[in-house]
Amino acid sequence: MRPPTEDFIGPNFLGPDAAAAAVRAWPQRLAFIRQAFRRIIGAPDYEVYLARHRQIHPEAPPLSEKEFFRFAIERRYSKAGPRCC
Amino acid sequence: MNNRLLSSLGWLLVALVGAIALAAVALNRGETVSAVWLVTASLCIYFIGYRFYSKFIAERVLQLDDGRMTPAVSRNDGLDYVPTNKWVLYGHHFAAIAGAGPLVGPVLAAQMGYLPGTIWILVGVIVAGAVQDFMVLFCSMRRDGRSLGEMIKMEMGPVAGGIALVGALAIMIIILAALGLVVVKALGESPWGTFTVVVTIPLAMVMGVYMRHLRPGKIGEASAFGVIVLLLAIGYGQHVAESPTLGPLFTYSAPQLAWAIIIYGAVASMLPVWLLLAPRDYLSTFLKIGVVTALAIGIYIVAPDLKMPATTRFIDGTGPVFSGTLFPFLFITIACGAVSGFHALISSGTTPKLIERESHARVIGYGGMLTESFVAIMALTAACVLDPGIYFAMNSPAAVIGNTPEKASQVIGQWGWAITPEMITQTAKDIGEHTILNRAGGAPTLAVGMAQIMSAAVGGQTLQAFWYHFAILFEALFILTAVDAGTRAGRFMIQDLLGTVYPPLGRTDSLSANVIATVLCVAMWGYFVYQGTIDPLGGVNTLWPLFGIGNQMLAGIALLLCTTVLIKMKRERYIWVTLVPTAWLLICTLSAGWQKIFAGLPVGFFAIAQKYSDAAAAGTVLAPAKTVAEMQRVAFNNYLCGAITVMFVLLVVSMAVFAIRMSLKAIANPNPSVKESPYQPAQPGVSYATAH
Repeated sequence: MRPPTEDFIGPNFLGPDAAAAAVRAWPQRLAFIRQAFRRIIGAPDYEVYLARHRQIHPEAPPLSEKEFFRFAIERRYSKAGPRCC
Repeated sequence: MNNRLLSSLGWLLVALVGAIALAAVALNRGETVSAVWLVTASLCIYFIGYRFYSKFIAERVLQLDDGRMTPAVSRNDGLDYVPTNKWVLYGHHFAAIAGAGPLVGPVLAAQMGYLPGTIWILVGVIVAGAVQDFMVLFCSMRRDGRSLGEMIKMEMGPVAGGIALVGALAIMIIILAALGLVVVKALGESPWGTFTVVVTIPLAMVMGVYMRHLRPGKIGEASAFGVIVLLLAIGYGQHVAESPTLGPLFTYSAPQLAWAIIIYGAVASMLPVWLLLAPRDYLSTFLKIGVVTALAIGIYIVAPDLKMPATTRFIDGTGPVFSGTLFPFLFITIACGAVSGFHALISSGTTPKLIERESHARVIGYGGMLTESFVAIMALTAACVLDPGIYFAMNSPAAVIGNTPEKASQVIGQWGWAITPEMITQTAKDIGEHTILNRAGGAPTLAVGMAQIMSAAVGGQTLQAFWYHFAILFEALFILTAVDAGTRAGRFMIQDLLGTVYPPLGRTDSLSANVIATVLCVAMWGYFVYQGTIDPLGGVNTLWPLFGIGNQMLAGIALLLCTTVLIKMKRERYIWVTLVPTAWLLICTLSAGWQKIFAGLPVGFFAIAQKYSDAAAAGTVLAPAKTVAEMQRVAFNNYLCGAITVMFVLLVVSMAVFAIRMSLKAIANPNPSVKESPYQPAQPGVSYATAH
């Protein structure tokens, strides 16, 4: 059984955290759904980037949301391999 | 204790339902069977394969270790490497691997009946396809998310890596050509379809501008807007098709559309990605998941009967849709859905960089491929619920069944499927098209099948034309996305190769180098698309087997890599897990390649080329060609396809030699010699899958 941690948003749908997730607040659940939607279609996620950036480079100013989207979309399609048949 | 009992009972129930469904399919030979039985039996087989075989692979063969840090965690940068909830990543991975492949192959294979295709899809995915996806994902995850080419270089040497790169490029060119041709065949002389597809271009651009300048990153808003406009465009398309002024503006012949898609591919792949590619990619992913779900629900609500027999006389290789006997050609016609080499590129692309825990690879890799296989089963079902007469009218080339409903019904009647010319014209009228004849390529057939299923569930007869064009648009949308993204990827590969010869051409920041590589890439696949529309013997029927051979060979190469890795890990006693599918794929592709090179008419490329060039030299014109110039074109194209087949065969044989050499070395070595990233312990009990 994994205890839910500080940085955990939303339910791990079918995982052992489902019970803990049931008591979670709706704003967090919505954040999770929004995030899941983005990740599934392969869109960049500014919130994820920002949180991580603050952790690993607290001294450097992060990209703005607009800059981040330009950078991330460019990057995804300049490297990503071909889509499937 | 209680839990275990409950779980055992649950699995017993799945096995029981599966057995009943299979029995319903098997015992009803000679009568029509409901598609529900076929779909249910497939689902039960997937569940059982997942529960037992993938568990065996995860625990014994690969020994997935949740105590080991994944690259998503150790290299977490919030951008490329992000630990992701496993169900979300499963969704992402499925959306990335599912394309037009599992929709086209099974539809073509339906000419042999529903049974051979179903058996290959189910057995193939459990034993080969899902195993490949899962193991490549595992290999890449243990190597910081490296690509297939890089891993082959690491584990099998630089020469093998270089050969694999050239092979991947060749296969990609063929797949782009085949997909382009599918769109062209679906939109030819169809103003309704062409209009809706054209609308997606400015629509995606509006979405792109919205997401970049007006409301940065508001993808949900833009996608919702996009879906609504698309539905309106499909509805308005009927008005366009019927209008005497607008209709002709969107009515084009297949060769004209071939040029359109060639120009589109060149321009779109040079535009900034945020403007066209990214927004349409979001839109098509969205639709893809929605349509697949809707189709599954539709099949259960409508419970249509399979009208195609279990097997047809065409298993002897005389079928009009593709030539060649059941073995080996069925096994290369259905690629995606059973096993697809292209997935090895996805499984070693974005996905391994997002896995939170090693154990998640099982549901993402193996489970994701099972889901794709389910899409293939539904495509096969949709083709088989059609009247077989309609199916053959749509998928046979004009050279065989002619251009008129009268001639077509006569020829198809001789094959044993009674169909009147009125039925053919009525079907065309029902879906809002002028004709359904000679629409090979899978997309239109699937669309008619889907339209019949969906309209029976929602909207009835009046909505059938709407659903048909919805299905066409849905396929065209992600094929165009694949053409765009594939041309970009092909450009990078070409620049990689050219850069080794002349470094300035390898610079991706140079506009002229970009243009040269793009034009080269588009010219290569564009040639096949255009020829497919003007060569009387060309088209999907010629190109699809070539694609199948290439794609299955790539799968063979990926599985050879997995086998080598297992041996290098000193897990020799489990190598049958990869060796069995590798051997089967090599047998299928090499014998198909052999036949395409050496067999006589109508299968062998060189035999056809010889026949037409001899006749052209003698000045005689053979049907369906009309001029000597056309004869020469047929001959040249068949020589070209033959040469490509020779290349594929040499490629896979040389990869097998590299794999065997490396494996023998590894067997002789008493210690593991695998090149994984260093072990880092994961923090126990922490969920990384997040971020705010």
